[in-house]
Amino acid sequence: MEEHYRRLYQFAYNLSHDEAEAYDLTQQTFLKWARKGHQLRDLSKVKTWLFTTLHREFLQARRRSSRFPHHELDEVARELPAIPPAMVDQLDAAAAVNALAKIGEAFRAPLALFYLEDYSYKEIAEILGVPVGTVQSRISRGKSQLYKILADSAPSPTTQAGESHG
Amino acid sequence: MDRDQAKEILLRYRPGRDDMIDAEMRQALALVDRDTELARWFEQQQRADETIRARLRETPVPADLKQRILAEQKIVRVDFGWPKPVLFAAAAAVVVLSVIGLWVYRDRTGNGLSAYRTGMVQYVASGYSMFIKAGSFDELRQVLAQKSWPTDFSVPDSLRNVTVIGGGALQWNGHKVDLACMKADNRGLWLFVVEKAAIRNAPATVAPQIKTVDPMATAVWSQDGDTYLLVVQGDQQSLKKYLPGFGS
Repeated sequence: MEEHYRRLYQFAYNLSHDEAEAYDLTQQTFLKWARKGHQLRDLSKVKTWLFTTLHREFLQARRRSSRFPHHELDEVARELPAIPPAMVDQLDAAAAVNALAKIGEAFRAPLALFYLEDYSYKEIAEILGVPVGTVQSRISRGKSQLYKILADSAPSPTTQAGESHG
Repeated sequence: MDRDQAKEILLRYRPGRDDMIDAEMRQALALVDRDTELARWFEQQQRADETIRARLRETPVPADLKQRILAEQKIVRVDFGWPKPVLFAAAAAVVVLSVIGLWVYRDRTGNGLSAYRTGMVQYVASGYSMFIKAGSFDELRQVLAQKSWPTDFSVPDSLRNVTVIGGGALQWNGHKVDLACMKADNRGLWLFVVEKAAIRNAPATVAPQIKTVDPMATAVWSQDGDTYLLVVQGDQQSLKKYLPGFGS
């Protein structure tokens, strides 16, 4: 538990963007572990099991709830934005989490796992229960959306003619 | 492969990992070596990724999370499942505790009505740690009184015909909360009572405020200095028959 609870909470927080929900998801995951963990034969899979369980808990809670309207941004913009270096320097944890919360829901979990953990694409696919190709595509598209959100949120000193927004 | 195609592929690149180095990626990386603008974009993207990664890993974790997880794991909980009335009945049979189970709910999101309601719903929805076995409200009051817990709550007439199976003594932000556990129509019902002053924005009147807090329907009202929270397995329609003024 010591090893994983922080990352699990951060993963939950990135999924839900809600402290109380992240708290509960993390607790619930460890509660399940306490009840069912003994069924896991391969102890090297503990971490993956925890992340998989937390993600499932999140999806179940989401399915039960109508509190979360499903907003997704458009497909990957053909022209991929670059985050201004100044924005990168000034980025803090809250801004990063906020930006991640704004990307399409399908991209959030793979991207959170991509950034938070050094999971391989194969492992991410295993946790999310989707093919590796889907993970690749979602990470690629999710990052594109994330960059766009961050780039758009960067303060621009002047509005130049022809500048593109949104 | 043009620059835009290369960018899309390079978004998947992870320095130090070769699990995704395929022919396409090799081609895109080769283009980086030849295309100055792409190289600059790639460098920025890598830097941005590192920063995002570092910042996300800085997301603060609640200080008491670890203790809470450990505490939860030590508690023997009866899983009622949802919605499984059979388990509910079985749980009532299994739990033979004659002592008051003290469950301290540490409010994480303030002392408002929303936090209280959500906390109590989560408490019952995720299974009990302990509770009193009692066959009636009077019996429940007797046990609560023995433990110096408030017993002055009023049971609405609309709950007179439900089956009382037990209860509990809880604490919320240092305030004592009575819990009555009931069942009716193959569903679980829980009535929480706390002094009105414990909840910052508690209802002022006996008119129930109804709200769904997944996976339960809830109603809150105040009467004689106490605030009542009724939680019912089911939807708001199922709840209404047990509310004062709504009962059939």
